Amino acid sequence: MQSILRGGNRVLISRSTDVYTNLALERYLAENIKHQPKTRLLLLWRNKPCVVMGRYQNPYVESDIKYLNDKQIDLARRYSGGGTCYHDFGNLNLTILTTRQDYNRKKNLQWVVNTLNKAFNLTLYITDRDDIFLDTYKVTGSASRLERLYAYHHFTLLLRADLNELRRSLKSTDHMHITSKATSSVRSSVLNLSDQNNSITYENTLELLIKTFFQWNNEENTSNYDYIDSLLYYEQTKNIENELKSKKFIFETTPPFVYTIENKKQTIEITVSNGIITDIKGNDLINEKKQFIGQLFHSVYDDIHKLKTNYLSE
Amino acid sequence: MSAISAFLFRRTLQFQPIRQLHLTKCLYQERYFTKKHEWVQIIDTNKKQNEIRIGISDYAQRALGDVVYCELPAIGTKFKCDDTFATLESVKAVSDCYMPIDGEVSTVNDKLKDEADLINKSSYENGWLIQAIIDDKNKKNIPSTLMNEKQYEKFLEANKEASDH
Repeated sequence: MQSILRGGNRVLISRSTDVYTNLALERYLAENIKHQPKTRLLLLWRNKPCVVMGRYQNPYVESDIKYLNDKQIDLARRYSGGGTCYHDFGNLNLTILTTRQDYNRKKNLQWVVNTLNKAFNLTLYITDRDDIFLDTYKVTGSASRLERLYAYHHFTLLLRADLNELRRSLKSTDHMHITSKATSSVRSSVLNLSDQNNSITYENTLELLIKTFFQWNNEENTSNYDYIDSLLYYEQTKNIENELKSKKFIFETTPPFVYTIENKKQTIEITVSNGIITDIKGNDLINEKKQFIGQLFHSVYDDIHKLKTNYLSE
Repeated sequence: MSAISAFLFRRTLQFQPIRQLHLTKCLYQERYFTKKHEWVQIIDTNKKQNEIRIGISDYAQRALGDVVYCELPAIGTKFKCDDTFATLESVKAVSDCYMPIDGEVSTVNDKLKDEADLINKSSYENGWLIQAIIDDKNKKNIPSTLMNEKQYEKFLEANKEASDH
């Protein structure tokens, strides 16, 4: 149990495909590993279909919440910044964990680009927003978290993801109604690496990245990687996992926003702060005011949706 | 150097620093810095309490990049030195700000709600993060536990030579 927390250049692969478990594991490792300067830990993970948004984003702006519920696609908020992405088994997640001083996104991405370009004959490049593009298509989204003693940079890699599901899940029906200072995603067209080179699979990419990771970090032993069974660390990670799963963290930590419904007769403005509806403005909304003020927005979302449909059809 | 010019040179040196210090004292209190690049400034008020203002340095804001979101604490929250008191998002990275000293939050900079990038544009003036009440003991210890501007500049110089990996 203790050896999982030793420092040095290491590769760990999570066996779990649950997004909350994996995010909790990532944080647990970040906070507890004895990070050594000038070394890197690579965590590799995959999730069953889910949507993951950045720390200060608004889920209603970034995805179709109803669709996610209907299709039982998990919705998660991560601790790092950046935009929203869709994960499934065709997407590989990489986390590079270092001391705060050694944090360097460009170097991490350069390693991946060099490795994949060489092995699969691709022309990947890094943009100034620290994304990896192939041509005009985005294949990687990245984000980071910096704390006092450690920092991590994690990013996705589209290998063989279901791009139709991706587009459908990330298509919001509410974004035009919401004004806020939450971080917005910068949208791009996406592409799977396997579309460019059909020989690319999750297995061969994993093997390749592990081998070249050790080479990059001047480690001779290129088979020093471990699989993590998250159940073994359940006691240590359960509090983090429970926070990640909670409606409080997912919905109520959304930055303040105003939900506006406009029709010819009037404009309705619903103000939400810390997840709670604090005010409704409009010409004649006495019943609605009684019904909604003080409620958690995500709990009454279906009713708000009905309100929207009614008012917009007037 | 001739004797006269040496004498004049010494006199100039004597005057310069004193003049600067005097001006500084009139306009604003000196800032003190942490190794994590936060700054502390004692605010001159007539109240009996010791109030300080906290922000991040120019070096920190440049390292962060454009701040797009700022999460500030609730007024009344008590923090210990090194506790996370605020979190910033910039260029897809979320980073914490650490308390330079024990204190209780008295005010937060509301302007940052709509203009988080004030932290970049004016890290020492309009882009301050919070104000906090501190006790006498901590106030007295500021010059010995934190770096003054000159010491901070030396610290930045020394750390520039961190080797590449």
